[in-house]
Amino acid sequence: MMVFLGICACGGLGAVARFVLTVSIKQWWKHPFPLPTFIINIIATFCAGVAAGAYAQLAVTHPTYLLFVTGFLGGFSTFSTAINEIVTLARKGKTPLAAAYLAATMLVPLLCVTGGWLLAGALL
Amino acid sequence: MTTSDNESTGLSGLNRGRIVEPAATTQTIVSPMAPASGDVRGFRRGGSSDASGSGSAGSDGSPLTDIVLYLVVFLGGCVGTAMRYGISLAIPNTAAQSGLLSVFHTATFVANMLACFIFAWLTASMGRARWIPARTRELVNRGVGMGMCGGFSTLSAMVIEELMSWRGGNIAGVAFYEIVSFACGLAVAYGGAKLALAMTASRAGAGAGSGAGSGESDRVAGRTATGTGFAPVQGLDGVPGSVSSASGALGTTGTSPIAAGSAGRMITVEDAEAAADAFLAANPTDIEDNEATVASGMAAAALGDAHASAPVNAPVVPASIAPDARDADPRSTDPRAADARRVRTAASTSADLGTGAGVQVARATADEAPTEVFGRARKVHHRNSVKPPMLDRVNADALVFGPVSRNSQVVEKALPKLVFPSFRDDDVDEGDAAAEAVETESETAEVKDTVEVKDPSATLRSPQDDGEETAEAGASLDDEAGQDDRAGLTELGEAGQDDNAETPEEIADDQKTEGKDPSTPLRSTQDDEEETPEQASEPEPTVKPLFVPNIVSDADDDAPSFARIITAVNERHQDDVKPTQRNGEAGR
Repeated sequence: MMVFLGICACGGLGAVARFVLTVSIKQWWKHPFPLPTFIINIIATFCAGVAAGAYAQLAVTHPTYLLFVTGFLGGFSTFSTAINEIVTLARKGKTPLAAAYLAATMLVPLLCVTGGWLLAGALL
Repeated sequence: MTTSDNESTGLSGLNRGRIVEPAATTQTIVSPMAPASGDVRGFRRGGSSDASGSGSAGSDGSPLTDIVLYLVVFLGGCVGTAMRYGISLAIPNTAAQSGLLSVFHTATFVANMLACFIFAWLTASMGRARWIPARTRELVNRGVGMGMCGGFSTLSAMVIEELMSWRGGNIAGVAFYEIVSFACGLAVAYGGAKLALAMTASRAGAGAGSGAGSGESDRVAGRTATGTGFAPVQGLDGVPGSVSSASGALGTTGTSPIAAGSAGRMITVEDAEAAADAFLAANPTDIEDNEATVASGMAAAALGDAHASAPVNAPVVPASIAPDARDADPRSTDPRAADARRVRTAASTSADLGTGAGVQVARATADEAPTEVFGRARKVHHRNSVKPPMLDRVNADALVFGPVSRNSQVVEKALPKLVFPSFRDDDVDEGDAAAEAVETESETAEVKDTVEVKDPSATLRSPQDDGEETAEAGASLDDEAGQDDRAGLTELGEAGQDDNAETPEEIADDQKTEGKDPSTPLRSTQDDEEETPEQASEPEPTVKPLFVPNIVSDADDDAPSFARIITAVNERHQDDVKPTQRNGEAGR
C-alpha cells in the first residue's frame, strides 16, 4: 500500500516536473513544434532506459524501480500530450510538422531508452 | 440629410453602451479619421484588456508563480498515476504469452488510449467553452489535462516494454506495438476532439449570443455608436481625465467640431435624446449646413448639450476646464476671442440646462485632471437660430481653441479647425454670443473671422503671428494648457494667464504636433494687435473647429500616451482634411 501511495506521489511529482519544464521551455520556444513535450519524453525515456538497466543489473530494488519508473517517469513522460500535439498540428494544416513530430516521437524515445539501457549496462 | 441618421446612430449607441463618450459618438460622422480612431481603439483596448486581465489571478502572470497550478497538477498526476498503476495491476499480462502480441501490454495500451481520448476531448472542450470562466478552464486543463492525463498515459513504460521485447528478439512485435499505439492514439485523440467540438458547438453558438460579458457588450456598443470604431471609453469612465478625454480629443480632431468631453460622466439615453431634440429644435439650419455640424450636433446630443442652439459660431466648445477660466477677453477685438466667448457661452448654456454634463464634469474634474478635461466643442450656426436664453450665461468656462484648419481657404469651405482649449474665464456676454462666424483660413491660419468683438476692453490678445501659429500649432497646445490656472492646467503652461492678454490665441491653424515646443508657450500674449476683426460681423461661420484637448503639453513627460495620440490624430487630420471637407459638402 505504501508503495502504491508512493507511486502516486511520485507520479504527482513527475507531473509537476513536467509542468514546470513545459512552461519554462515555452517561455523561450515560440516555434509551433512542441519541443517541450519532446524534450520531456526524451529525458523520461532515457532515464527509463537507465533505470531498467539498473534494475536488470539488480542495482535497485523493485519498489525503487516502481517508484521511479512507474511513478515519477510515468507521470513525467506523456503519451497523450504528444499524440494530441500531433493531432493539433495536423488539424491546423501543419501536416509536415505533425508527421515529423510523429516520426520523432516514435523513434527517438526508442533510441533513448536503448541508450540509457546501454549506459546503465556499461556503468554497472 | 444625414442628420437623422447620425442622430439615431448616436442615440442608439448611447442606448447600447450605457456610458458613451461624446467624442465617440461624434466620431461616427467623421469617417476620414477612422485610422486615427483605430489608434485610439487600440490604445483603449490595451488598457481595458489589462484591467480585465487582472480579473483572473495567475492567468496573465507566469503559470510558474501560481501555486494553485502546482497543486492541481500534482493531484492530477497522482490520480493519473494511480489509475495507470491500478490498470497495470488489473491487467498484468500482455495480450499474448508469445508471438507478436507478447509485447502488447494491454494495460499500458488501454491507459494511453483513455488518456489520449480524455486529453483531446478536454482540451478541445476547454478551448471552446467560453462560458466557463477562464480561471476554471485553466485549472481543469492543468489539473485534468496535464496532470491526470499526463500521469495516466506514459511513454516511458511503453518504450521499456518495447525495449525488453526488442532484446527478446521480437522486433516485429515491437514495431506492431509501436505503430498500433500511435495509430490508435491518433485516432482516439481525433475522435475525442471531434466529439468535443460537436458537444460544444450548440452551446458555444448559444453562448456567443447571450454569453458576452457586459464589458464586452459595452465595448461593442461603443464601437457601434462610434461607427468609425472609436474606442468606447467605458473602461476609463469615472476617471476624469485621462483616456476618455484623450479619445474625445481625437474625436474632435476629426472633421467635426466635436466637443469632447464628458469626463467619465454617465450619459443616459434620456439625456441624450433630450439633448438631441433640443439641438434639432434650436438648430434646424445647422443641420443643413454640413455634416460637420451634424456631427457636432450628435456630439452635443451625446453630451446632452442643450446649448447647441447657442449662437456659437466658433467651433469648439471644449469642455470648460475651469468654470472661471476666462480665456477669452470680452473686450478683445480678436475674433478668436469672440469665438472663445461664444463657446463659453454655449458651454454655460449647456451647463445651465444641466445637459451639458460634459462641461460640468469637466469643471469638477478640472482640478484633478486639468489637462485632460474637455468640454465639448460645438459649432453652431447662428444665422437663423434664435439665441437661446441660456446663451446669456457667461459663466461657461469653455475653452476656446483657435481654428486650426490648414487647408481651408474660404470660410465656407474652411476645414474644421482644431481648437485648443484656452482657459480664460471670461463670461460670455450676450453680445458675444451674437458674434458669429469665425473663419479660418488657409494654413497660415489666421482667423479672419467674423466674430465681432463687442467688448470694448478687447485687447487683442490673441494673436500670434500667423506664421507662428501655423508652425507651432502644437505649441499652442502647450501654451493654452498653460494659460489657465483655473483650468487646472497651470502646470503645463508657464504662461500665466492674463485674462485680458490672452485669448484663445492658440487658434493654430495648423495643428502640427511638432509644434509642441516648449519654447513657444508664451507666444500667445504677444502679438495681439495684429489680428483684425475684419469680418467680425459675418454671420456665418462655416468653419468647423476641431477640438484638441488641452491634453498634455509635453508628450515626453506628463502624458506621453495622450500626446502621442493627439499627434497622430493631428497628422492624420492633415491628410484627411480635404477629403473630409469634400465629404461634408457632398453630404450636404
